[in-house]
Amino acid sequence: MSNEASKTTPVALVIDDEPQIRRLLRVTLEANGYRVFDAATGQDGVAQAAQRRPDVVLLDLGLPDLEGTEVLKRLREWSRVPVIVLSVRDREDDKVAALDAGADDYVTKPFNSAELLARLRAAMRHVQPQGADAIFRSGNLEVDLSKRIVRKSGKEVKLTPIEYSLLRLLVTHAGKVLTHRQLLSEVWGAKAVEQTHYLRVHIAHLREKIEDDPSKPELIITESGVGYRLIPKG
Amino acid sequence: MADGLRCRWLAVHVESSQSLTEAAQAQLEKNLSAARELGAEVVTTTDDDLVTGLLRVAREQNVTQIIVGKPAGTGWLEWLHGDRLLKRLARASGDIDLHVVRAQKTSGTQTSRIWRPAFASNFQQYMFAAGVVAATGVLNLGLMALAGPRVPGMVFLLAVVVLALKVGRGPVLLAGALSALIWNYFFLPPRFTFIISNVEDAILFGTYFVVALVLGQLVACIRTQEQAERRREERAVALYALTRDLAEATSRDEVVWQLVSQVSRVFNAPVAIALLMNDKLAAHPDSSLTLSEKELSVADWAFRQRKAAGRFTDNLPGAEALYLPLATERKTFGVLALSLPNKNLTLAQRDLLETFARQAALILDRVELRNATEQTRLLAESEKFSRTLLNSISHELRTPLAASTSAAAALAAAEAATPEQRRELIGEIQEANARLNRVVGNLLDVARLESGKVRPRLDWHDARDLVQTTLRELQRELAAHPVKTELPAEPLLVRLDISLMQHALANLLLNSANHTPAGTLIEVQVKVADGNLVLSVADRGSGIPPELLPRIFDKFFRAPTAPTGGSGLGLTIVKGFVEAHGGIITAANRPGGGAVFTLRVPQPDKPPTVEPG
Repeated sequence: MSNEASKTTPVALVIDDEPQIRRLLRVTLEANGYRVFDAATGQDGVAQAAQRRPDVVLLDLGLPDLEGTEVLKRLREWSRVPVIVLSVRDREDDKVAALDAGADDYVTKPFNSAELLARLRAAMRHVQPQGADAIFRSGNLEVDLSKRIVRKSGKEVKLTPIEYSLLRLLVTHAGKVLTHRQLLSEVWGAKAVEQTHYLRVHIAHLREKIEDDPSKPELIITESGVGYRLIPKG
Repeated sequence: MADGLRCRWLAVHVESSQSLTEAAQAQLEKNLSAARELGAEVVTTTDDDLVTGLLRVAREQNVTQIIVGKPAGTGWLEWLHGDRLLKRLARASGDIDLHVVRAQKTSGTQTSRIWRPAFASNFQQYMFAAGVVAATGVLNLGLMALAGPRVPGMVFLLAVVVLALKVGRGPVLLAGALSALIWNYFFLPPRFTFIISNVEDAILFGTYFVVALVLGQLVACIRTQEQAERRREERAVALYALTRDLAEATSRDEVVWQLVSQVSRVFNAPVAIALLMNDKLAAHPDSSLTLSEKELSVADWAFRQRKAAGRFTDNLPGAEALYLPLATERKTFGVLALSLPNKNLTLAQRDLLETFARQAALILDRVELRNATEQTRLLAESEKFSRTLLNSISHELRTPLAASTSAAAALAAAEAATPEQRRELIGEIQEANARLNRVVGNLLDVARLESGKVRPRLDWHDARDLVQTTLRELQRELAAHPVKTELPAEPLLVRLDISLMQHALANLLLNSANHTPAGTLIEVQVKVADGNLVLSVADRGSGIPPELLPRIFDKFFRAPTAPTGGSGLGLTIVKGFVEAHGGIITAANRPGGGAVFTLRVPQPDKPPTVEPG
């Protein structure tokens, strides 16, 4: 899915203190049709975000002046701009902390540029308004969000209310990771945010019903220790 | 003389059951101390007979020469006694040379040993003895009316014997004499005189008197010997306990702790051990006695001079405590301080204390030597380890770097290269980088394990998802190997740290893929059995040579037949992560060929139930 809805060139802001990473991202993003601005410090990053009004922000966590999560907090005070965290920190705690602090996605360095571009598109798509007759399609799966109907190879699939709620959340955030906390509080309420075993069992059942091969899930992907991500097939 | 013959010499103290006067005791201790300072070993033995005791020690210690002092006293009794001793010694010593030297006449009053009344028992015992005799007398008055004047004698004798079991020698002798007089005065006719009228009574009386005295003496002797025996046994037990506990000590602190607690217990007094800390003598924190600056200076003297000092010694006797150096021939380790403010220290106790100090010093010496050896060994090992580490790391990091660098250079230079060649070069770079990333990841994991900071964050996971997600993430690496999974049909909730376990499983899968030819089937099975999550990865490769089985989880261990590309860290990490969960990992060869790795992670909690809906 390309970014055809927006006619203007998307603007990306890269906040990273490593010049080599900034150069590399600039080349990659410009080659894919982005206009790129960059900042080497958190302070400058927040200032540029206000000035340039980017469509997406790529944020490193280990900045010399401010912690990445602090930059995220300051951005989120006034902006809903999609933020993708780009970090060498690969521990689940760091990922979950950044995502729960308002990041839209998390990519660990070293990264694959194709994957990064896919994540950028997913993050940006989410903020664009949904069509009124929103129908999600991926391979042989069809989810009609307005009529609450799920079809697989044209046949209707019976989902329980919880399974449907989970699927709806994943579909509306397609391509983006949703943390356990986000899923649990949306579906079961704020009191259930620790009950990850609910997710384990219901996601397993959901996969049984919608995956082509439930023993090799390719639609609903487990982001270990973080959450789940729905990856739509082209 | 010992110096001349270049042999060790002993000073022998034969402890008899007869108690010594305080002056004699002091003289004895002084003599023995002097002997000790001159390099003698002091041996104490218990025997009522000087000659037997002396010769027993001589035979036990393989003595070749005995030196005795010639009695220098002038009294006939002393002369008789000493002369007899010498004669007996000469007769009994056999093949041991006997030297007699002139002894100095000791100054001061010397009471003759034979006639010295033993006032060792206290006043109460005498009163008790007199009371028993008086009571028996009253009883006898009644008996005499029934049985005549001779029976009371027997009853008195009985009383004296019974008394001997209870009180010391002095009171027994008093009771013997007193009862004889009372019998004579009140019972034997003519009564109320000390006169005995007939020969029969006189003989009876005389015999009674002697029997009472001898009996009292005998019983008292047995008791004293028994006490001496008990004392010696206590000493032996204390020594045994100390030696045993010290032998188990493996560090200086343990030795000190054992020494303090044992000595405190045996002597029932506070003890301090002063050791050299930063070139200054200071009391060890386990000490039960605190040492003032002044006392520490006495300890310091004992430490530097390697001699006993303080109380009960000739060196700085004004000190409150007794200080014994903890020294071996090699080195002085510290000072043992014992504070006995209101008590005396008997020779035996002093001897025991010195033995304690000697034992402790020996053990301290041993501990120090062992630590030094251990340190040398560790140092050598760590040097060897860092060499292996550096070799391995530099190889692991440089190989992919070299590949990546040369591929990039080729790309930059080869403008004429075909698009196909370019793709190949780019593929090389990508593969090299993936490998580099894996090596760095492994090194970071090992560093985490080494730092001891791996704390699993347990949560409920579907064990099937663990396998599926890991396989999905390794798609590229496992492309050449078909993988068969055996998973339960329903979600299998297990409690584990998903990141660590996924790492562990990934490393096992990569290990199988690296060690088997392309196309070899890898089988993954997961189940819960006997309260454990059991996860196994099996292949049909050539298996693991049995002699390598015990070593495959060692750091940097690589099988000689292993293909390049491994770092020798993968299985170490698996083991570390599984053990962080309290689990175990085993490796084995499968019947029919191939290797199987099985990890078991305990699942003590029952999985929670999940409502459908």
